[in-house]
Amino acid sequence: MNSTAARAEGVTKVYGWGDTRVTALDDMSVAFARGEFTAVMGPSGSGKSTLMHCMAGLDSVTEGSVFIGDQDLSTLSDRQLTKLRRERIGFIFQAYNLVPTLSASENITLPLDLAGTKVDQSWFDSVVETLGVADRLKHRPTELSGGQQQRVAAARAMVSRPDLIFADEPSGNLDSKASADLLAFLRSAVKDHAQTIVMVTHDANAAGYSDRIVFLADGRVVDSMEGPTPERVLDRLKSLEY
Amino acid sequence: MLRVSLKGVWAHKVRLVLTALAIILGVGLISGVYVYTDTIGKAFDGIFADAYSGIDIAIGTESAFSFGEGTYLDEADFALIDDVPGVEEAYPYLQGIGVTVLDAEGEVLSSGPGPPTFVSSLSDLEGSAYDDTGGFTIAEGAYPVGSGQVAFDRGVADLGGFEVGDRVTVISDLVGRLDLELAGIAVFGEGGGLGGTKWVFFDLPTAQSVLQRPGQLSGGAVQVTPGAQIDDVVAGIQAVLPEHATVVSGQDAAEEEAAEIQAALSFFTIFLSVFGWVALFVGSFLIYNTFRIVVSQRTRELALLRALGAGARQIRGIVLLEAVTIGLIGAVLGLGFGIMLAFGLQLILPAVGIELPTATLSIKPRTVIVGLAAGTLITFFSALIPARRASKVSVMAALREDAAGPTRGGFLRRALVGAVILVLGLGGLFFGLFGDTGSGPSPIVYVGVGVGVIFLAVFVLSPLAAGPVTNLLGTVLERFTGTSGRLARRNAMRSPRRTAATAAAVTISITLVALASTLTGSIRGTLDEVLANNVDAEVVVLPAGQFGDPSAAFAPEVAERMEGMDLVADLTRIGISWGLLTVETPTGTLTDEILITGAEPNLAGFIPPDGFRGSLDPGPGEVVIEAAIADDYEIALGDSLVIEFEQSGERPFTLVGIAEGPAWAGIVAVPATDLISATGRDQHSQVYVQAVEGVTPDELKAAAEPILADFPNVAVQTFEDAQSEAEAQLNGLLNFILALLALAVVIGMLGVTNTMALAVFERTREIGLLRAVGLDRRTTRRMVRAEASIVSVFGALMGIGLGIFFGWALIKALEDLGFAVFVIPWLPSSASVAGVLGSLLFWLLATGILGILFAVYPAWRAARLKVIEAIAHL
Repeated sequence: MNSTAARAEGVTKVYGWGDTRVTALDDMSVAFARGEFTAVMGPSGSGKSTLMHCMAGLDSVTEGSVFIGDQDLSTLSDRQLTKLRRERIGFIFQAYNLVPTLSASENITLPLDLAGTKVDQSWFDSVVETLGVADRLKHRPTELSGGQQQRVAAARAMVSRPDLIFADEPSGNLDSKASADLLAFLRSAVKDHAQTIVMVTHDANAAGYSDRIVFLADGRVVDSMEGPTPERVLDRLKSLEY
Repeated sequence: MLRVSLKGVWAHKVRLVLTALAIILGVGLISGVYVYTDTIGKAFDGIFADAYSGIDIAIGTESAFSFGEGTYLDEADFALIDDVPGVEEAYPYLQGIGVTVLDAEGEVLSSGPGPPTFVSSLSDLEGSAYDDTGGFTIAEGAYPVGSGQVAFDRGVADLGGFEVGDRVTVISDLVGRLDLELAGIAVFGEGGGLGGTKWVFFDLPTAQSVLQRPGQLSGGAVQVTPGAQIDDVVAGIQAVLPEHATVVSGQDAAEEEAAEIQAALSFFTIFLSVFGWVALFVGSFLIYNTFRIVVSQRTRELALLRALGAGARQIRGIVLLEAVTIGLIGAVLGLGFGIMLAFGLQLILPAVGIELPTATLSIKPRTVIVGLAAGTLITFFSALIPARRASKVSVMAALREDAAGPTRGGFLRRALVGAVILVLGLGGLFFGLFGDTGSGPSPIVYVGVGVGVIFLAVFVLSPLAAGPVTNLLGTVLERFTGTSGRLARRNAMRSPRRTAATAAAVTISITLVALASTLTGSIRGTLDEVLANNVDAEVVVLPAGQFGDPSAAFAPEVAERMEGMDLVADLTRIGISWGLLTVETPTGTLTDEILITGAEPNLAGFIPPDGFRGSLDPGPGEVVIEAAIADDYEIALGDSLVIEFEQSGERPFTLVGIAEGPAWAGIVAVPATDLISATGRDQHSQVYVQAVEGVTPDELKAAAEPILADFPNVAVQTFEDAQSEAEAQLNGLLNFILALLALAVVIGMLGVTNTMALAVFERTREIGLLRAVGLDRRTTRRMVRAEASIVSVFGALMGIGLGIFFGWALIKALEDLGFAVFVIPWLPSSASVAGVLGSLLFWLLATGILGILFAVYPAWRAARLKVIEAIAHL
């Protein structure tokens, strides 16, 4: 079994033409190891979100290849990409993660329902237990706090046992207590269930929960750090003159 | 401010197009009807001006009867005109109906439903004072002379492929078969026909013999001597003629006849334009809903405008101005569409056998004003409530994420208000249908207002039902479609008010569809009931091809021949004529023009009543009446009443029997001998025939047809024939009404399109999220279409419920007219198109499918959203 959950090889992403031409990713290569919690950091415009979108098959690349496991995304049709997303990738966005008409429980099983896959009840129970939302399952998103909503989103991302989860500033809209709770839950998901998580963030505290940090600037990987703590991250950010 | 409005309109072109489309279709139908009927009216004006050009004075007769044969003048009286001072020459004519032209194969010549064939005298006026009068003249061949010659108008000649000199056959209801030589072909005025009517011409003595009017005339035309005052001559002629003769100047006559046609046309105009107004009414819901959603979507934009210093009044103005702009654009395009529609009708109607005179299109200022005003005002009023809401948007809303949803307390209040309105509406409806409206407004006003108020109540109450009902519909759908069905169900439930308002537009049109279906279904049920259970005869002999004239008749020889058949056990002859029934009641005198049946003593053996009082066999001077009519006139056994006959005046009768049951519905029976003496006509309109034991209706029919072969103007019908003929007529009527309602249905469905398009726009982020977590494009489309389908079916359910209810109320109110059976036509009555279209389940299914079709565009838009952009949206 490959120890790499996903990787980008020489990926370039260009938006626009002529004067409005922007190179969001510039010949970038990066790999995310299986069972690891990786944080992607960088200033605005460094290509964090673009990298995530391309790696998740939400956006196409201009040059280079993206792999989920051994699967080259550039060879897939829209339908195959959709299928890949619901079976092998989980998402946690900064906000608006849940479908307002569905209950928490229905939101969690949504990718499985869409795929027509049966829910593994013991795994489901274990996930909602881990994320501390077991007693909120019947509630609608509007009846949940911001922190609870993000944990439900995390449970949804995990329930289909994806190869990896992309989290885009998952704690960006939360207060510090809810933020710390969520990140701790993500941390334990990686530790207890060997889940792979790639988290985009510009918050040093959030990045401190990860196993490894990849630093981006101007569409390139400029640095990385193993076993970070918030203090080390802040020091490194200063040295990178972000 | 105008610029803000116009930019608002332009920024949402789809919304503009859909909203305007509702106006275009509604205004188009109304203005199209106006233009078309105005054009026909103009053509008729021209025809009558032609017909009376050169006639100084027109003489006719007047009658108290709307449906009768008309009254006549004696030739002896007419001869007196010659001696009136100032009269140069008087030219008499006789007109009537009661002939059938046969084609070369001996079949009845027919171009489809239309007016009866007219018979008229026609003489050569060459060299007389009438040389230049309008009307019919022979264009080819010669004028008919003597009992062996006939002339046809160009239309009849073309239809039958006849040429001058051909031998032709004409069947007279009164004197039977006539073999004639076609002496000539007549044209009207400059060479056309007379509005598509069919004419058969004889010389005067022959016409009198064919119509059995010896020595009688319908009227005449008079030329005055040069210099004479027409008014004086009119007075002089009036003085020598009997009271029922009418004498007017040719110019007045042309105007009167044109006015009569205009009156008839205006009924036609109103009837057709009602469907246009219904379409606009449905459209108003679409517009209301569109603006409601738009205002809530633009809450932040509007709040920003408020924050920048726009007043509440200015905000209202912006929304209303946007509405009026769309309304005006729609109305202008609608007028254009209407003119095209009228032009198309002129081309299409003659092609399907409906011949009406044509002229260049008549676009009156009234058409333009009504069209523009209707389109603009309806949009304006529909947007009024949303505009008010917009003006109440607070500055704070610009900073908040979302506006609050409806509260529980609002629901209770809604239920109460709705219930009160519903009770008021039901009260109005039932009072109009069953109550005694006395000297107040006519019952139709109460019914109309009642129906309108009930609609209002349903729309106030429907948001309460929207949640549970769409939940139920969605649950059924979810069984088949899984997750997309569940998402659709939840989406349909998330805003009950929006769902209800969208469904409302569907509801109105489907209510009318269901009402039409229920009424035709009930009429069919009543006919089946009457024919199957209440007529004891194997076949009935009827006049053929006399489209719905119940007093059409045939010669007594028909019954004589049938009586001579071995297969026939017994028969009864029925004569039918129009009469004026007058009854003195305690509250006043009641007079109505109704059909009088001339019955033989054995009639009750053929149409056995459910029950009766007194006798079923009226003797001379006696009458038997059906119970419901007797109740209407408040008459009891032994009471006296008066029936006036067109031919012989008033006759007294005594009520000796009251019969009950659907078979006798509408029957007022006098002895056959009395009817014959009162009308001077020994002829029959129906003959019921019983076969001898063991002979089936079809066998009897097959045996009778050769015996009656030389009477092509009669038909032998089994009751299955009668059923299928009635079925065909009902289906034709239903198809016609459904075709007109189709527009309203389409507009209702456009409302669904619009709401779904706006919902997709609103839920961009949500759809992006769903796509990101694995909803593929196809399922996205299915989700949107399923929601549209649920909303449409919800609207159709309410519409079908209302339609059934209104149908039931109408049938109950019309019970007196013989509507014995109330049928809810859930299933198709037959495998025909009309049979299927008349079924309510079909419409339920159809709206579900239409919902899917009309959501194709929003669904496509939803599926096409780029996931990243959708997530980034807001």
